[in-house]
Amino acid sequence: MTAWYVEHGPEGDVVVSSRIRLARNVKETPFPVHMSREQGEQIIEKAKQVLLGSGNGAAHVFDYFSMNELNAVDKQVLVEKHLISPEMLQDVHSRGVLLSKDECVSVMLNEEDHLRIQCIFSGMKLDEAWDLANKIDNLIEQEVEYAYSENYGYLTCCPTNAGTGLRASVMIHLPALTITRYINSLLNAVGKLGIAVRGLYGEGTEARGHFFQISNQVTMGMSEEDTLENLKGIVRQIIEQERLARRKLFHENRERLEDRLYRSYGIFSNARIMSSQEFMKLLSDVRLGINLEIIKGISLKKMNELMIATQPANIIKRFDGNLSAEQRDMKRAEMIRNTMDH
Amino acid sequence: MMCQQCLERPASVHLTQIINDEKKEIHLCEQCARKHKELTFDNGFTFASPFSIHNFLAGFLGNGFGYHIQPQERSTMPGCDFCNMTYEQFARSGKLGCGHCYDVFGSTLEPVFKKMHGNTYHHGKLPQRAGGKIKAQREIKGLKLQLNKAVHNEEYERAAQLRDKIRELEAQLKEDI
Ligand SMILES: [Zn+2]
Ligand SMILES: [Zn+2]
Repeated sequence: MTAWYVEHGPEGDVVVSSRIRLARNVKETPFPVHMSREQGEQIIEKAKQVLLGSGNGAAHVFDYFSMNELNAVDKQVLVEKHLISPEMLQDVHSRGVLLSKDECVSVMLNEEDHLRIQCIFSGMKLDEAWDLANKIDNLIEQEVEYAYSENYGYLTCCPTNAGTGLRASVMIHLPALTITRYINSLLNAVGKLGIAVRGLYGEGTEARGHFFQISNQVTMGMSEEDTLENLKGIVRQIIEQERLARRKLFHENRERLEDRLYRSYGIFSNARIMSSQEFMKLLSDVRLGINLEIIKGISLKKMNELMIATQPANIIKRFDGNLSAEQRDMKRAEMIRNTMDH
Repeated sequence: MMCQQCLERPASVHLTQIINDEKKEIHLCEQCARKHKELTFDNGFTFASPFSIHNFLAGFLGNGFGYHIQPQERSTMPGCDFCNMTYEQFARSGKLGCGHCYDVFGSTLEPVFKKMHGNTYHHGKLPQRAGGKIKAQREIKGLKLQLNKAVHNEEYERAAQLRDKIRELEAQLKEDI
């Protein structure tokens, strides 16, 4: 397995990544906000014992990082790679993460819940991510008794997660549905199905970068398998709609579309200073151009890599310096040029 | 449009969330958006965490959804002895302090579960440890349903078989305890 952002997975023309997160708490221990330092350390010790030991059975080798010991840049790098949540950046005692060397699995310790098991893969791979998260969950349970009730299932700090504690989500790129403005009716329809759609909007009406996150909201009364089937069914339909809209755009508005994508491609490949916002907007067009085979000779895999490598903390980490925002914008433009040249 | 946070600067960041048919729009200025801990803007594609669902939940607990509990009454509601969470804290944050809180605040939580999940019972994975007992209880529940059906359909032979099976499982459960 390789990290989600250096791969181009199934349905990768539309689906960027698939993620499974399981929220778990240890029995007879207050949830992290209410626990003592000692209780927090005990949870960390237990989790390390399971996953750092040789022959943990997960076929993934883990490292442990204490949040107190990581520096600010390293923490932000993990957030940018979606391996820890921004919540983990807050200065709270007894927090850490067990991270698999291939960056497919991260187990956050003492975030909102004692354990947050996360598996993330490139492309549409919800089943694979669930299988792995489930396996790690079973391993941890050999050492730890979970807070669980017959009625309410796995007990979590926030009651919106109680039951399965499962959040399955897919990051999806919907440029054609956004450009053709079909997106709103689609999102409204999806919202009725126990599914949440989040997109980040910039100025104007178009989603910044046209990336959306689609996830289940229901965690009680539905099995994990049914939850995944439901989400997969909806995502499959959205993928089809997006592909249809791309073909329609291409056939009905070819000149305008080509003009837009070539302009973006031109700026993307030649700019000297690029903010991360502009980057996401142009990246969306370049991805669409690659998918429609208007832009040739560059792979989606490279685009996925670039998307993470050009994030602010990742740039600082790579160039090992205290770069200002403007210096980062120059580095970002340089990294893009280097990628597009080859 | 003005920023909803500071009500001073014009809003330039517009966030839309649709959760269970409820559309929510948040409009912030760049400064406030940056400050918002859940939104790392520099980072281009970090999505809003489900922060608003917490507010939403706290909102309808605070309004005593289905229970009409007035703020002054809330301070007299029983809290959790294990983690010392008060009803007031729970209603304000929409979060729980420990596993026992689910027993203490259960009657308030169930209508919330119903509204949010359309259900108040877990139907998913069973932990392996406590799972054996729960699995047997679930099986007994299922068999009892089948038994009722068999009796209703006058399939007495089958009903007798089911009754034996239920007795057997119940005896096993008692032994385990
Ligand atoms: Zn503001
Ligand atoms: Zn409690």
